[in-house]
Amino acid sequence: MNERPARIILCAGSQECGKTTFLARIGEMFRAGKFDRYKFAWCFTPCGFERVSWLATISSGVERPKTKRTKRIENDSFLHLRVRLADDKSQKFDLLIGDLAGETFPTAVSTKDFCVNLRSLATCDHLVVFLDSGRLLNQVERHTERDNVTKFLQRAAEVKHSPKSLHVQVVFSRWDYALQHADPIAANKYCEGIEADLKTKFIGVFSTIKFLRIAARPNPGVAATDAEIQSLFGYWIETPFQPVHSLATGVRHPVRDFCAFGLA
Amino acid sequence: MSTPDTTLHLIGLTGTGKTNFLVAFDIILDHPCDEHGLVHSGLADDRTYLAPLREAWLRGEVFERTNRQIPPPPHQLSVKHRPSGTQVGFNLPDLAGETIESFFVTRTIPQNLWERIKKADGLLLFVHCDHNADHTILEDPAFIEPEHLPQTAAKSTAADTDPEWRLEDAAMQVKLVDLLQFVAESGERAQPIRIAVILSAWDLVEKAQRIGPGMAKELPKNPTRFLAHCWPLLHQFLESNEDVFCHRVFGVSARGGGNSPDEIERLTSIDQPSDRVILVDDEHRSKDLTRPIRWLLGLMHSPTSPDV
Repeated sequence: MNERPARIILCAGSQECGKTTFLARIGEMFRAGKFDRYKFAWCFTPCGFERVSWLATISSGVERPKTKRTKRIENDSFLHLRVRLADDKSQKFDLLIGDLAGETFPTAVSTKDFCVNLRSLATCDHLVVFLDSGRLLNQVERHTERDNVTKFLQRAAEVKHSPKSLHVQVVFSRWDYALQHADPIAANKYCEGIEADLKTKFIGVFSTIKFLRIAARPNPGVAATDAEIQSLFGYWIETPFQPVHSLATGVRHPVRDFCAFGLA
Repeated sequence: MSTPDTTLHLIGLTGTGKTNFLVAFDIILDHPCDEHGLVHSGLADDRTYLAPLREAWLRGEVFERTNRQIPPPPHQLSVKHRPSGTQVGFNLPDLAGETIESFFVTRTIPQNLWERIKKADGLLLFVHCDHNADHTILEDPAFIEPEHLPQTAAKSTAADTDPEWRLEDAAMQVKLVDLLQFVAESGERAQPIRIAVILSAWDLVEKAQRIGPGMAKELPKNPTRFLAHCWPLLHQFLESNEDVFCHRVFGVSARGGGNSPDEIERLTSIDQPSDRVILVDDEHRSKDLTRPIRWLLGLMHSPTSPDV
């Protein structure tokens, strides 16, 4: 992998805000051939993608889809995808996508040292922070959710060697909860307020900041936001990319599953 | 024919029709249906593996699964390409599907097989038309009516009883892509390795019209489009790695029909057993099972069958 430049993406957010479900959905969409502009080319972590989707499949025997939590030990590990442009087979792109275990997010918010030692944060080209719409629309939890994301972005700006080269995407995740809220207009307005606040604080700090609303595995009655996921995925690829980091020395757990065959 | 010129490997997961193909291929070599096709150029010294299977095939019987505990004895075929006069002897090891699956689960592959795959002239990759390429995703959680949803996020608790994912649970198309990635990394090749993707039990696709119009509408009758529609990850992988793999997709019914008593009666009622076979290659349709082999060997030179 070190011979090929790869875009590094880190997803971060509170526990069960939908980070892993979002990653699982990307894998599921490739397996179902649902990406329009990009086609699957290679994956060094097929088992990793399978594992994160497992509890959402009929074969697993579960009654309702779930997502297995990312474990603390999986911090600084990545899922790999190589894709190509649908209309140009010669143009291939490697992506390493990791998600910070939600259980460690409060530590990341509160402890600078933790963030300094987080190699995935140091090396990422794109940082995707998740704001859980379910929590944002809960009067008790919304302030903490908003505050933690703001603080984490501040931490990222502090510990990144060059924050001005970092592309930040803020995802209002589990957006189905906003759409199915008793007053969806007010819910959306509240989120727009957060959006404006984050823009004020971080425009000029990072290279770009972009906002999306995603329901990777929505409740019944809400359409999946596959188009939005495709749009974000495309953004990772289309954004100018400067491969300056080496994973060879930086990543302690380079992949979530073994990918090479041994010989008996 | 002690030293075969060519080795082609049959690769596929469990129950994908590899043995049926091998036996029907042997029968078609005796009853060529295409002047450009291959024919037997002699009887192999050792037919202990094929002979009883051939008898069972002719009786319309269903084969028992190839047993991975007992590797099949070496069997070779000596064939002649009539237009060019080329004689080719080749190996077609009939590797059990369970063996292929065990590579994925144990993440190991026997050294001797690895060497053989490195040197293989081509692969026949078997995919059963009636197998699910992937797991079905539960799209609608819990069957909860939207009006009953809580206003705050309902958190799923990761109960200890959640079934753990195991390697053997991986989807079929994921296992095949993983295997091909291994093949791709098995060594530098002067030119891309040829892969004939065999969509077995193709008669089921053709019968889909009878199953229901909705099903027929969804299932492309062109093998390449079928692969793209039903096995998108595998199809996209092959398309994306043309520098490593040169592939072509064939729809094949080597058995010619189903396993029910009625179907067995129908199959045995066909006077010429080779007439049971169906092969579809894009617009081409015949019973010439030698076509994918000819394509793999680069012997498909004819005005009607371009070698591309």
